[in-house]
Amino acid sequence: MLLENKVAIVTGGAKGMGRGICLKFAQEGAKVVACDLDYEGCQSVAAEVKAAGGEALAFKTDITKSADIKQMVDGTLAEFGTIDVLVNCAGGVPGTHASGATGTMSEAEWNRIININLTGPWLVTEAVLPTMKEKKSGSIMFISSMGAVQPVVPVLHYHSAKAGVIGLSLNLAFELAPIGIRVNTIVPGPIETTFWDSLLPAGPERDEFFSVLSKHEVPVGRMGTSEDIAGAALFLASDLSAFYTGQTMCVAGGQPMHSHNTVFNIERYLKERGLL
Amino acid sequence: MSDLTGKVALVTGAAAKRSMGRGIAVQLAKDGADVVVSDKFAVPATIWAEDQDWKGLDDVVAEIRALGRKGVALTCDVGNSADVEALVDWTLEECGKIDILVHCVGVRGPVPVPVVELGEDTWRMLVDVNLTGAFLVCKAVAKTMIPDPEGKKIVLISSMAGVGPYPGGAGYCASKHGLLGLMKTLARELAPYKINVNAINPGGFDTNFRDDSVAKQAEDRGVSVEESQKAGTAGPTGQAGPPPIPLGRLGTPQDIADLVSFLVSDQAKYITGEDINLSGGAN
Repeated sequence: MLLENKVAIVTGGAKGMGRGICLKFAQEGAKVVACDLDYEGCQSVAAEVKAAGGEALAFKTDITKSADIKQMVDGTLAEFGTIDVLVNCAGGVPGTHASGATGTMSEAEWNRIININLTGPWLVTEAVLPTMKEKKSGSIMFISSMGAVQPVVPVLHYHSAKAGVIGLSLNLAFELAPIGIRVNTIVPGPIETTFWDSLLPAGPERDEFFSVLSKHEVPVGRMGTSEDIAGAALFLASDLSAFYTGQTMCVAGGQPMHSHNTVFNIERYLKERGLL
Repeated sequence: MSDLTGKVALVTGAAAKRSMGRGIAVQLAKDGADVVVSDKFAVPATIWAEDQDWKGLDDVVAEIRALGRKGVALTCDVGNSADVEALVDWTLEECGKIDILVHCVGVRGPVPVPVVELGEDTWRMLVDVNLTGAFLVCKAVAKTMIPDPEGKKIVLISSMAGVGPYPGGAGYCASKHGLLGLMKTLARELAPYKINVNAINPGGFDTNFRDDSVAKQAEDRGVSVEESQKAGTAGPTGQAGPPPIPLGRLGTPQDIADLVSFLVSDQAKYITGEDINLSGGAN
């Protein structure tokens, strides 16, 4: 097993990619800490891990609140004694249907999304670093977004935060490499998760959208899954990637970053169907 | 990283004791694959006194067999299409199929040599081996993969010189940039068949690959090979001394073998068309 006895914190661990990462890590022997605003979801993940013979903790954590983060990190150290891996998976554009184009968002909305997607991951990272610095090892990862480097629909606040995450990751990698802490970012392509709920509710329209999107935009011809992202996270968390740091790893079914031959206009597609 | 039992891997450029190809071939065998190894010379020349007893491909095959896997070897000059066709035909005869291709063959020649002093012959040799060789091998192997493509994988070894400048290594740099163009296009062409094609860009590795440069710099400086090695070869900056690597050490064949193990595993099914830097943080 690749993560035997490693302790891994996964923010946003209740559902989607975070849940997939928790389950994958547990299968590989890690003690998993699932934290999320959705506490029931975390408990469900922890129960699934324990039912399979693993060890897991669940925390209700708002990553924009230092007190919540401290409680989660202290609780992890009290129970498991250390922290080896941090996956900053929490993020998104929750509780809004706004497109995020110019002229559509308030300053408060901008700040809220930047807080969730950039400031939050930084706060959680700061909170685990004392432990990792002391043991001079650790693997930290961030989840960015293809929209940060190759937007197909304007979502200014979210995509800016996700681009910021790449900068944060590179700077952390640069600072922390000499003391043995590795930092990388996964850039997912189109992944079929609950992330899409706020944009396009599950149903036939979403299925058709995914089908058209995969056909036109994803060379391998299918949407990605949480399992696909969890595989990359497993590599980055494990010692298999001991020489790998300061990188952005694209998991996108062949969609290249910075592509100039995008043929499918997602925004137009959604607008034509009255979905945006 | 996942169970490769029943799979057949072809690893080119695997004869040298300190090569990435050897490390990768042995790792794939550990993961459960049968492995065909190839190189231009069965026993490559070495500048290292302690490597004189190394029997090249035969020793790699012995390592694979010691892991309980089928291991076979054939020499092949990848710049020669007849040689490449023969390698692929023979692999199919011996093992029935090719599930995984890891193309490690590459040459850098002695560096640093600036463009204004770089011979046309050297330039053509570098492009022939690094780029045309990769094209010929990929073409021949991909043809065999397409009829039964599910789960098949191609990994090309490029270089950090494939994504940035390399003063004193123009032929190498240009051929590795070209290799990434080949990889990205091949990934698009083979994606409909669910064949994953990716590349790794190693930077700052301790392998036999640096032998030519160590020898050249020993001669330039009038010192022994051992002294030249200690002083370090010129890095991508053209400065003498080891390149600054944030993680504080040179990469090893095992480092790249681990990444290959990931890329050919079920964990990386949605990754294709990517070139992945493996450089200890030195971008």
